[in-house]
Amino acid sequence: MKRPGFPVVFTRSILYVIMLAVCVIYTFPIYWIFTKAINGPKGLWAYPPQLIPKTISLENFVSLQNNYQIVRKLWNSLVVCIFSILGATGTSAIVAYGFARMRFKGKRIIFIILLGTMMIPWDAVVIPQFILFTAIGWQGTYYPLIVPLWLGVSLYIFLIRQFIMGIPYELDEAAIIDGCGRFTVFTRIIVPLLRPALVAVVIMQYLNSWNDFLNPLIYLNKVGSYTVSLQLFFMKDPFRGMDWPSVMAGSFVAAIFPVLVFFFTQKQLVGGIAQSGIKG
Amino acid sequence: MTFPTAVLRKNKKGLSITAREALSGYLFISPWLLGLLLFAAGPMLFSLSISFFKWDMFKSMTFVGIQNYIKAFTDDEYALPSLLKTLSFVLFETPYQLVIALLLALLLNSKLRGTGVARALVYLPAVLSGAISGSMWKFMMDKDLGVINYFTLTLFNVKIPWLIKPDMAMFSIALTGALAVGTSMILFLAALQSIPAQYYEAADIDGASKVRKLFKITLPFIAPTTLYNLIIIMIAQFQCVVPFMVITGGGPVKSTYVFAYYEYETAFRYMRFGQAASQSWIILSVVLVATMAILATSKFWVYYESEKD
Repeated sequence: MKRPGFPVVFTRSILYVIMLAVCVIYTFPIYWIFTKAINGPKGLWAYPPQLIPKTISLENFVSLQNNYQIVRKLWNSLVVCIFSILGATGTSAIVAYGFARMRFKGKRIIFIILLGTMMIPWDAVVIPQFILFTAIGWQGTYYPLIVPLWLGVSLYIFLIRQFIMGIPYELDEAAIIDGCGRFTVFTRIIVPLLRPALVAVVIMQYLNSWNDFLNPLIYLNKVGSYTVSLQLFFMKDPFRGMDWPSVMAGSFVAAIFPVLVFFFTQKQLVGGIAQSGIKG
Repeated sequence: MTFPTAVLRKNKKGLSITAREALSGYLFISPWLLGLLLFAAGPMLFSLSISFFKWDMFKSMTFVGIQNYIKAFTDDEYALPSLLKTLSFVLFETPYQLVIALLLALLLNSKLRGTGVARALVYLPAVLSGAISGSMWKFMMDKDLGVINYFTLTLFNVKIPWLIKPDMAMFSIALTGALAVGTSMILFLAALQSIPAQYYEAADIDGASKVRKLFKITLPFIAPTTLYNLIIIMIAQFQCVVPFMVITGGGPVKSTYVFAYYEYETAFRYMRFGQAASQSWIILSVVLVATMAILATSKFWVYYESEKD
């Protein structure tokens, strides 16, 4: 084999330098959160900034828990996430099966409407939804964050439908001939095969619910019921404006879960996102 | 698809097979249909109707016709300036994010070692809540003690008033969007990987340059993805509000008070629901017109594979 000539080596090295720079830029904010969180209140404001933390202290975390009961807020976020994920995933899979396997009048049109709803801006529906949820007394509860998801999410329905379309129809057929009803076919045959798609959907919904900031801001009005994301916004200090030691420690605990989940499930998540761009 | 045994089976209710299948089909999708009615179509119709009313703080409603809309453009301290801010933000941010996402995808699609790790790291900021990344930027962009100005001071001997100067703050927030392109990048990557290698091989035989291959093969091939990303990014920027809330709170002196923020405060701070609904329809119409305009131009630069022969 021919050895690469000088120009090739040269452009290669430049590309590696650019790639390294990109990696540093994109990870720096998270590195900064993590190091400032364990830097203690003094190291946090040290100038020049401690690029490698010199003082290590857990003081920021102690004040975070004492001032804002962060453990409780993590629990709140977890509760919202679990119920959101259950509803969003379960219902979306059922609806997706209907779109993928059943024949009924108007299916094409309804499916196009479904694709269209993915484009509806959030602020087009948030005001009337707020009025509705306030009218039925759900203001201050977690229901507005969870219940809409139990009726299915268009994006997930689309993703799971695409996945089901790739499963051979003969499997359904064989089960139906054996006397299974459609719903049994769905739960016994299809759901076990859906694992990769469902994992992607579960992660997406986890990230959405865990990171949601605007909906909790609108609906939650008692400090005790705040989610982590919302609590981060309300860490004020009378002098500095923001209570930075707690914000950093809080960002650390709020970020660590999504970051870990992402690293362990990258493949499925990325696969799911890549699918979402392929509209048939 | 029909299967023979099903035709032979007589069903109990006397419905034909197709009718029964249709019925269970509707049953399967009924949760979503209900959701469409309750949480999408219904609310939108409701919001359109209340936009013709004056309705504050859940008190009595008064019909005002299109007054809410007229007032927004004639007698409103914030509506027009904030709409212009949103428009200029969208005009900058959409191409900015699109180009960065594309460049990153091209870089990380090359045959270098470590692109797998790099892809994950580039996507990483996208898994953070807007509340986290917002306060992060605010912290790093602090004029005197922030780490970004520490770098600019060391390297170029300047301190930049990122968030303090009114005509600078908007631009600073717009810049931070570079780290939020993970999803668009993944879509571009997927599109790049779907280009058959033969095209490049053929071009190599003809001795085409890298630039020529980019413009004659790569870009035309991924044009549908570019169109999709363009529209998705644009719609997201029209609604973008969290960074403005968290990083600057709309300030300094309302310089980052974008339309979505104004709408948010009209609805949830002042509870002027009629007015807020009219604002959401103003922005929705703008989004719709912009999307239609992009789709109209797409005829000239997006070709789908199925249309080719």
